[in-house]
Amino acid sequence: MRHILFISYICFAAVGGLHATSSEVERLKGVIDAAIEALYGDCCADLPAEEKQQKVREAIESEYDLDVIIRRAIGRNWQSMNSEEQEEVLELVKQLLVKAYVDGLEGRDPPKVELGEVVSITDRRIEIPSRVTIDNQTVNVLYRLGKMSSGWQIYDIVAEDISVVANYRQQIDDHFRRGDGQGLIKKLKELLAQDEIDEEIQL
Amino acid sequence: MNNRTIEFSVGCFVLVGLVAVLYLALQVGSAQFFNKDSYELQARFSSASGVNPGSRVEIAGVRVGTVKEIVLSDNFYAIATFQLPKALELDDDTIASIKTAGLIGDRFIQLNPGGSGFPLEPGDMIVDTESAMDIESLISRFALGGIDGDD
Repeated sequence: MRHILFISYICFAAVGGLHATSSEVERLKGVIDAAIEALYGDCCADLPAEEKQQKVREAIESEYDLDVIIRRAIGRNWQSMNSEEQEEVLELVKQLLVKAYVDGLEGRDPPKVELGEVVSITDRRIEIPSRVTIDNQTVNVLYRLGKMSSGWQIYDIVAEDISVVANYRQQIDDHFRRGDGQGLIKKLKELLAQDEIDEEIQL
Repeated sequence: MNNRTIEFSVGCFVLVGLVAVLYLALQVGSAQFFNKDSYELQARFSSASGVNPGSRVEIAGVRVGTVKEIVLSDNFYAIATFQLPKALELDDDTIASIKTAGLIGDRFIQLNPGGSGFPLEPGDMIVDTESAMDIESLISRFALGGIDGDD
């Protein structure tokens, strides 16, 4: 069940210092709509995949910092890399996430996303549940947001109780038990060089 | 050997026997009265099905703790309380997942340590969790065409 690609595009079909209220739902909805527009809108439907990826990334990063999710997935292994490796890994994983999302939705109908109400977990953490429907498949997706200095940021996305961060963290932990930052960069570049990312991304 | 000495010896023997039985009972029941070397954390799951008091808590496949109790919260989440050794420090971005040993084995809690640099304090709650996979629900959704309508 560790199909990262599936989770990624389901989740990002849905991804795109404020109050943890409906404004956060509106903000998330705006990003989701912008990301879907970048793929299916009149402006972009015929664009090459690289340009679609760029537009999707701009839509997401206009509101949310992808570094938060990626840093959390890398976890304690962050300290095992030097600053150049850290920068490069951040950039490559961002590209990989967006590429997985765009590849995954290629040739499919636009996803329908229904966002639920904000669930307050603590004063610094909230969750926004959603239901994503693609090609008659309906998946429950949960957005976990944390209050940071830059405002509320998505720090994890959970599809059908499978966490994107836990998934990546497990694979990255496994990698660092026998490899290093340079090895991770090499693997990420190999994945990005593939025409289409396999259904199951194995780092 | 006078009667008093014999009675004293028998009394000591019985006392040692009772202490041994008591020790055995405590060990078998995994009872712990002195927890100076451990601390408790909680984890919040949408479903803790299959996890019970006494279930294992693991990191990287190594048993590091034991589930103490599981209760239902006011908003219908399962709150699992477990004990960990004090020497084991975890950061607040630790993820707790309910896993199954093999296909039909026991359920246990797997901790995936983070690296935020902000340690969890005794009594803190891990809210970043993955709940138990509900196989029956998945099968029924497949059967009803809810998940993979095209397949």
